Amino acid sequence: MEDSQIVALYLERNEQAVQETAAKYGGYCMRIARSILRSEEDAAEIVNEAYLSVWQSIPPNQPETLTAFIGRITRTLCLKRLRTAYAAKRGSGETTAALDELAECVGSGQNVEQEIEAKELALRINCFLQGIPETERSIFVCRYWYFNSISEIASQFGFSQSKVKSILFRTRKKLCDMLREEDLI
Amino acid sequence: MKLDTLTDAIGMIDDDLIVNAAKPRKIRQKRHRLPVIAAAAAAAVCLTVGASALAARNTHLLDSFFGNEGADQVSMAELPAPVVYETGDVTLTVETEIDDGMNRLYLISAADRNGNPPDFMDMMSKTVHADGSLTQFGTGGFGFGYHPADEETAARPEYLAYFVEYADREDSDCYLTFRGFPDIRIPIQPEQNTPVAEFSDGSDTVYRLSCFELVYTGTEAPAGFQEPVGEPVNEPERWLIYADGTKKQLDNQSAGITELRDENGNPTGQYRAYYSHKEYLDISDVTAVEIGGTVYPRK
Repeated sequence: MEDSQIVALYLERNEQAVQETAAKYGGYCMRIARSILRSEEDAAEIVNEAYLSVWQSIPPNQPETLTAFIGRITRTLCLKRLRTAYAAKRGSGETTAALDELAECVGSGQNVEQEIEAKELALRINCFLQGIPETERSIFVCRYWYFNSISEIASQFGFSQSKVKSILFRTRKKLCDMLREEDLI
Repeated sequence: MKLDTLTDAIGMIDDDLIVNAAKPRKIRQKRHRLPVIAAAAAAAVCLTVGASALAARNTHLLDSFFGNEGADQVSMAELPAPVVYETGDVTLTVETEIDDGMNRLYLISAADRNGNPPDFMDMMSKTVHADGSLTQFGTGGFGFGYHPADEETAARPEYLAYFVEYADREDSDCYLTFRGFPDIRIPIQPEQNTPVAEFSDGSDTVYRLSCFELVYTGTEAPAGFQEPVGEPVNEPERWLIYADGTKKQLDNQSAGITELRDENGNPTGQYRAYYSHKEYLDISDVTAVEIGGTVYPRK
């Protein structure tokens, strides 16, 4: 079923919308949730929460790209779960490793950038990502949006793991430079 | 900024970026290789590739390495042909070599038996001297991996670059080799006496400039470096001043400092610091360098 038809079902408050969403995007959402949470049980739970959240979000939202819409909700729910779970004690694993890498770009947290809304920052990051080569961009998104492991990304792109690490390192450095230039860190 | 803010911001990037990254990819199984080696052999085989189309190839390599048009400044006729080294596990190609008067740069690519690049991070090189002694990362030099990241260059093998410094080399019969591949021996070519520009203000401070890097020698660690070794923490601005009065600010790709020692390992009281350029530079019309506000005329 086309995305527009599924969205129409949501707008009609037809519960078949959830079934169609699960049929089309269940696997996609599970991959995101597994990558972040690294737990089959937690992932399944979050994906169900995501379906509910989509049901509650449409209307008023009418997303043009359901993939990104439901993916974004799944990611947000996963990170929220992860932040709660790791509030007291940070754990190990792929998501934590990716977050540790990203932490290089945020500085000490003592700057005025604490006041900058993530939405505004997202605009800058969008510009940054649009300005780098497609491969670097996709690898960055795979790592820090989808939280894929290095080995998964290496396999997906046909690169060695060292090459993926190197591309990520260079991209993070460029991002850091951009954030510094814009006085964001 | 908090890490959560950054991760949330990344979560809000445009839909097309999210969707495109998740698309299945067609993985290139066949990577560019020089079509010269067929059978794997237990011992290393070394072949020199013919020179046809060499100039264009080397220009392309140097462009990708330096990210600029600097390769045009290299006399292609002087660049040696690629040399391929083959073992049962890896094909390693010295794509080209360039001498800048202070260093010799080796642009090396490598591929395993499936045509994929080996893990360069684990392929630490050594210089083996005539007396059998070893030096990590070349003779007082250094090495690093270079990974072309755009769509066009990603089709080629990854590159390793090795700078072998002549300044610290005392013997002339040494070669590069790689951990795990002892049969591969890349001879380190003799110095070619390529001109290097020297700059001084009359003190014992001397700056030497080549197409690859700016090198300081003097009795004090230059500003910005933490003594006695390491990377700079607060580099002074560095400018090239040309004959027509124009200036160009230097931006280094890497930098470091060493305290020079005599043959017995005792400090000489001299420091040597380098700043490797981010681009390949033509130094012919440089008349002076300005470092941290001090102008050093060309000698």
